[in-house]
Amino acid sequence: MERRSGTWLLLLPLAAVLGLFLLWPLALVLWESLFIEGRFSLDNYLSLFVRKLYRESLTTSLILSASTAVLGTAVGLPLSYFVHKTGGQAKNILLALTAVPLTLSGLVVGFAFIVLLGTSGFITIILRELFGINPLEFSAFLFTWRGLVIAYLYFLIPRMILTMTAAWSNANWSLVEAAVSLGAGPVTVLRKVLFPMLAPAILAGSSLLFAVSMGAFGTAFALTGTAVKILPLVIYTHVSELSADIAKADALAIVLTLVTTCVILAYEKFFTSPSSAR
Amino acid sequence: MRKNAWKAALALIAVLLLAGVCLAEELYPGENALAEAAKKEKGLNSYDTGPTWANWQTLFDGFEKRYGIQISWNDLGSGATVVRLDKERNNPQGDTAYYFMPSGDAAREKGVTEPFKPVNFDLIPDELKDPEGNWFCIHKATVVFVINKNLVKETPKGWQDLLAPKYSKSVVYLDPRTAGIGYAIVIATTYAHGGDLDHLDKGIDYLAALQKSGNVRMIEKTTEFDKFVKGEIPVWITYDMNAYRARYIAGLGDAIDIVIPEEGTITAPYAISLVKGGPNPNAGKLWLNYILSSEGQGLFAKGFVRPILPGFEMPADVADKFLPASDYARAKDVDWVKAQKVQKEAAALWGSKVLGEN
Repeated sequence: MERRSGTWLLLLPLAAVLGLFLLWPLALVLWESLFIEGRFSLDNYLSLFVRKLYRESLTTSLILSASTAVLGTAVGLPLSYFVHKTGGQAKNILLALTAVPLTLSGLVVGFAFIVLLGTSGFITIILRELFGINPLEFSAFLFTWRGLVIAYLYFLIPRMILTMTAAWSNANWSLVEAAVSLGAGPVTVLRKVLFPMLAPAILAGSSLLFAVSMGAFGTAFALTGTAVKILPLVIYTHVSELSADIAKADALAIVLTLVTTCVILAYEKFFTSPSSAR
Repeated sequence: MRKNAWKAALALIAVLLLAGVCLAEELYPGENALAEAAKKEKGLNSYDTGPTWANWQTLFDGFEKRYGIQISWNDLGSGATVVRLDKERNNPQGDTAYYFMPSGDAAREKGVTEPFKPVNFDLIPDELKDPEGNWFCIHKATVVFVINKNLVKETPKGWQDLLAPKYSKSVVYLDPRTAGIGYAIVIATTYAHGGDLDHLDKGIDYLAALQKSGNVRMIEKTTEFDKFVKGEIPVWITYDMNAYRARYIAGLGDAIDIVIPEEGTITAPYAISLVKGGPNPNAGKLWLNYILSSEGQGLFAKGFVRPILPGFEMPADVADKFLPASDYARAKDVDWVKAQKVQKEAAALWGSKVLGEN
């Protein structure tokens, strides 16, 4: 008992930080979203279902995040296996390189893509010289939500790789050897042995990708204009300059938080239940 | 002997100091007294004066050099500035607030401004100031096109030209919901198409047609100057001060064309206020006086920002670089106090007609 209370004391600083910088602001945002001109009202939330803009932006955000999660997983998985197989010093170097995109701010990533794929971007100019493409038509893609999928993958794939390299190392490879020695073909090994073994990690990784791209703002802000309807940008138009509607922005922020939290919780519930825990 | 030399030196210094005080000619009567009071305060907080916008950095430098008072600034955007003043009304942190003129009147309505009549207040045209001095305009800008000639072969002459297929995915302008300049563009297209503040749909219909033509490359939020300079924007609808800044200060020179649309455009005035209950009221007043003094207005002019005082003599080297006055004759002045009243509806209408939101 003595030791237990000691542990709790050690947790106090963490609890204080979480309370001060996460729960308290979140509570404030929730509180403010429930008032319209000083009167209690749920209209801020109801309008999310009524106004086409909010429905559209929520849908586009979900599609964008689902696309980045699927693509990021599809590309990240083989890459992580490659990193894992490399082993030794080379693996450490690869992992360090992988982490670089994670250290960049979203704004920097956005501008980096403009420098590469923008109208007078590096790659755009090469393509124009080689194939005579029209730079304006080519780069316009970058400023749509589909362009964001490409840009987001830059900082999402590394997240997938880092999650998966740990899983590859922890995987029980003797099971694979056993399956092979019992005559299983590569497809069977993949389907019956490897996939079940790695599924929790893959899902953890992809739900992380989903949540991160749901909330990513800096890259979208730097890259696309406000005409792209995704939740973070719609929230931005509600807190800026002329059309300031803070309560509506608060409501949208709460919805955004709920969606990401639910994705993470659903993952926790289905894939880290005691039965499947290692 | 040595003692005398010391005395002489001290006397000399005293004389020089005295001369210095007398020689530092006041920009306006009472300047020195106000400056003394301001120096006892804790600096100056100037809201929404981003240093790269409207040549503010040069005015900061001039002010700090003249009075030795440090300026802290932020770059919120007009609407956000009003929201911030409102949120801080019980504990104001800003001393002055700068915004697109309609937001100045919005701030007055919220009661977060302090009436103050700075130097040269009487010279400001009546429609560009609140009679009590809750806000007053300090400079103007004109909505123009800026063309990157590397990306666009044929320079458009006016709004109608922009609808042509050859400008596919080329036009960039600002969101009227997020930027004062975006709203100024809505008004500009309205006046260019025979509308007025009671018929804003003329401008919005045009912008909807532009959107439908597929020529709109993107709708930007606030800062697109760097993107233009980098060569990302073929046709940029913006203020003339940004255009000249790109040409002469960022050094793009003849690689860009600046066009005042043939169908017409509008001027957009920017205003400033003394904040009610601000922490450094004297510094605030000193700053506002400085901005409207001939020195302050001249510093705007040097950055291609049109001073508000009528008949202000532009420095010759700057005046030569402006487009001819005959082009500027196409730029109409607008009743912005009235424009402020319809701003929210206009922004919503723009959202639904141009972006298909509802």
